[in-house]
Amino acid sequence: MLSQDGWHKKFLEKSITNALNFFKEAVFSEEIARKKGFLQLRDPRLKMIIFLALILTICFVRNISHLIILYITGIILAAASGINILFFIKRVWFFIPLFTLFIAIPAVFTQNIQAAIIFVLRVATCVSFAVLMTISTRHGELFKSLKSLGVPNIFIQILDMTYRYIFFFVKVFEETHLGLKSRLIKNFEKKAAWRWISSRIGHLFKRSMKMSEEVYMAMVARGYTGEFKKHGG
Amino acid sequence: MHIPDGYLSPQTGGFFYLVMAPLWIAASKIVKRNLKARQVPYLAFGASFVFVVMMFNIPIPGGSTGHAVGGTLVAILLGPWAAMIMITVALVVQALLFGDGGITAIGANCFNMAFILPFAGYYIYKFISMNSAKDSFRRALAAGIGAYFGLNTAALSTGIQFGIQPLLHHTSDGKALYCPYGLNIALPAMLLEHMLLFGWLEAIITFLVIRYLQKDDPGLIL
Repeated sequence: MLSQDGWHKKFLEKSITNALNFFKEAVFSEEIARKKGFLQLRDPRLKMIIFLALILTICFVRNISHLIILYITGIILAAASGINILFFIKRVWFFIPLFTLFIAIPAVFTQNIQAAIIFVLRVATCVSFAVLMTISTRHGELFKSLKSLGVPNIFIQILDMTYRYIFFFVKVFEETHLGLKSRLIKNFEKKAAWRWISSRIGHLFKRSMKMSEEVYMAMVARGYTGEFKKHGG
Repeated sequence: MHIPDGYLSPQTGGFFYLVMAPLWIAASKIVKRNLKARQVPYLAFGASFVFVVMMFNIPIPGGSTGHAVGGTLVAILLGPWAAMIMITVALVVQALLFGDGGITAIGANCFNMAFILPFAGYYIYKFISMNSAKDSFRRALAAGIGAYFGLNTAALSTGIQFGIQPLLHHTSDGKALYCPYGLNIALPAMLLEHMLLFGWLEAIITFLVIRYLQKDDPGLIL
């Protein structure tokens, strides 16, 4: 089960980093959403509709200077909302996968530079506004705003509950990996790693189904009939 | 493969929202009929599970790591319609809160990963496993093969979505407006890495998870 070469443990480190980044990201976004900046104070429903319309419009823009103006507008909005500009720019370009560059670079040689610039700039501007919308709105408000776009109530309830329990499962995920890491004296062989990961996925599945039943029972015990009632608006 | 905003034309994005709408409606009706009031916690926990499955880093040959999608696995365990809603919810959370995948591309991403993937994987699994015993090797193998083809069908569909962009949308002098590569580049680019690498990873993990559950709790396998 154990082997000498060094890289089979890397997946453990990477998974643990994944989990920690998830928490960091979530806490950081929530912190920004709680600030009292320009975007945070707008009505979330209105904000969502305007931003979605903007993103859609950006997808149609074919003019470089228009795209640059829109991109800069995004940065100004970030600054007005108390978001660190460097962080914002970094985050946007981090989201733009390297893939985009792979697509764009050959296009520079084969087609023309202009088309490549428009493509990358459009993706960057779209991502900027998507990031602005999500980090300036608290997740509960974001989900509720979907209602004004005609998303059914039941879907929003599922989204809300999913978001809450993802934290629980990521915590379990992190502890599982940390537990193995702390007990590991040598490296894993690839096949053993696959078997271990699969058993953890299987176990997580059983656990999530068991918990779903328990949570359902707890909801029923509190009077849940399948309908969510709103309290106090 | 989560398609970001700006890769597909808004028309293509809108088209796949329209394609997904009746499928989402059908899925929610079927799930509601089977689960009644239980549906909200059941689907939410399933979606959380899907979300976390994608976080597992898995060693791949060559010293790097990849991750599985788990779409076929969920379809085998919980049925393709429930899987469709769970994967959709996981994709919406990823797109809205973690910037993974574009907002205008949610319809297209769901078409590939929440519809094509679980349905293709599930029916291939059903076809190969036939009436074999719940704890048979054949059933686990069928799950692996289903997962391999499920993921590759989804990659094919993504490749087609990319590849038709230059045909559909270009300026009058023929310059592409969105994804600049035609089918001749987009299809092999998407398919090769999935057929040679990620498809196998998905197959192995799905096979091993089913093997694990067969020993542990065969009642869970549909």
